[in-house]
Amino acid sequence: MLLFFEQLLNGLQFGFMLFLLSAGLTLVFGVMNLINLAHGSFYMVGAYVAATVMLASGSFVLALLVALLVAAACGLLVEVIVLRHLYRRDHLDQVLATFGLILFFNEATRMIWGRQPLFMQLPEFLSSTVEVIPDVPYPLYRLVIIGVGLAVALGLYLLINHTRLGMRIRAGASDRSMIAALGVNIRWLYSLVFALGALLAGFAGVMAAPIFAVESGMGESILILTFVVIVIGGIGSIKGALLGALLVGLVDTLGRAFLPDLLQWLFTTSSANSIAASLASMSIYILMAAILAFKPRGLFPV
Amino acid sequence: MLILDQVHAGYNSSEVLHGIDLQLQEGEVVTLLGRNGMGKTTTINCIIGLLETRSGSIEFNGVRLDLIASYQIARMGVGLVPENRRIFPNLTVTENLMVAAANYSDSASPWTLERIFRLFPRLQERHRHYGNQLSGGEQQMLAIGRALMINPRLLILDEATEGLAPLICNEIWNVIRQLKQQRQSILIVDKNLNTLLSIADRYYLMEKGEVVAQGLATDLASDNAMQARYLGV
Ligand SMILES: Nc1ncnc2c1ncn2[C@@H]1O[C@H](COP(=O)(O)OP(=O)(O)O)[C@@H](O)[C@H]1O
Ligand SMILES: [Mg+2]
Repeated sequence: MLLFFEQLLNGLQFGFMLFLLSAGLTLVFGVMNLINLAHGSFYMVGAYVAATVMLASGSFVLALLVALLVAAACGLLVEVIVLRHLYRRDHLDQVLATFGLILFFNEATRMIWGRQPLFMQLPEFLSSTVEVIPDVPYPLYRLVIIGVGLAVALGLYLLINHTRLGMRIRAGASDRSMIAALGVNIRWLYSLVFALGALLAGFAGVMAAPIFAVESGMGESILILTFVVIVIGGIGSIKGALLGALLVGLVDTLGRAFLPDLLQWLFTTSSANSIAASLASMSIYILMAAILAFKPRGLFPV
Repeated sequence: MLILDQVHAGYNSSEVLHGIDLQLQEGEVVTLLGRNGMGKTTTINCIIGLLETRSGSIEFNGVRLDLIASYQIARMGVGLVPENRRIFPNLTVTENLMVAAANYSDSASPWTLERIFRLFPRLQERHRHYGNQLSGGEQQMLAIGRALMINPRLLILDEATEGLAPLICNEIWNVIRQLKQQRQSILIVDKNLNTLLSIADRYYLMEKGEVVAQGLATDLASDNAMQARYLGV
């Protein structure tokens, strides 16, 4: 039971990290109708920059700030130089172009940081453990990720639903030329949304850096999960991204942790293990298929 | 205030406007008449920048509108109430009114939410409803309110009473009359010829992408032959 709660927390933590990534992707997809495969690259950039600044300065806060800035700047540049020209093109063109961007970013990180993965040390104030569940020390850092995810979710909710900028983002998503005809500079709005998405992806990268290896191509494996999240949640919906991310995070984490034990009731140990391993890696796709069967446009269609 | 000079425009390979000339002075109410498909909406789309012109020029207070983007045109003070209303369905009534609100005419007494709600009390009752929960009439009122909230120097209304119940139509016509009294410049397209001609100062009559007649609204109102010939009434 204690193990279950621990894995539950792990699942939540992973879910909130996925949320940071999905929020930007779903906004860009929903508002601008743009499929951006290179979204994971901003995650990678965030992780690399944070690890590097941390190593050089020893300050986690500085590393975080610089990484967020660089990720947002990368997003802005990519939007202005490349993606702006793709909004009116069909999705296949967008997929091809942004796939090209992935190759570019992966190669660029290899040229700058080399082929060896980087590892990021946690600062002391984050490396302690807390006993959320009595007698089970849990890493503080993972709780911080959950807290950050909650704060970002709340912040985005307020931004989208209770500010003028948010109104314009929603209006632009439903009728782009009408909001322009009322005096809103939609290009600038899109650049801003895109940079915000890149910043959040970079944030996820910073959060991930002390947990995973920071290496070229790290954005792609997580990008697939991110797409699953936004499809489950309903493309364009922040609320959907939050719920989808938590579902995927929990199902993935709990599946990997407990499927082997569960299956032992049915099979012999060795076959249970191998079936569980493949089932666990499929679990989120099964989840997606099940949800789409009932809600073809996701949990919160917009 | 507004000068269209030999405006040509079209969609894809076909040309729809074959050289439109049109002028509107400050404080005037001008109507653009013509049967369906004659190019009225296309003309309006050129003015607001939703459609690029192919040649000719559109000038507004000395600025070439055909050379700048749609949002810049709105900021010059052109407010559009588009055909089919185009309310933002995922925004509430209040949000629809506030989303683009600005004072582009530097008006000393700008439109506010309260003033719009006084103009259309129905909107106040429904201010928390989303755009897609409104009736057609309410959406139309909202579209007018939304355009007024940018405090336009020129208000453009494209088929503002289309498909609405007579009572609602009257309410909207009353508002347009009020706006005229406040010396709001208006370019208006509508099917309701009699009411329209009683409000407008001048008219332009379009046929197949060309202006075939123009003059004082009162003159057309008394010219049944002309009405029959071009408008089929
Ligand atoms: N989006 C469009 N694409 C192609 N043709 C169009 C489009 N909109 C209008 N047209 C054509 O342009 C002509 C003028 O249409 P429009 O300006 O909407 O007329 P009106 O507003 O006077 O009824 C019509 O023949 C119509 O079929
Ligand atoms: Mg029309």
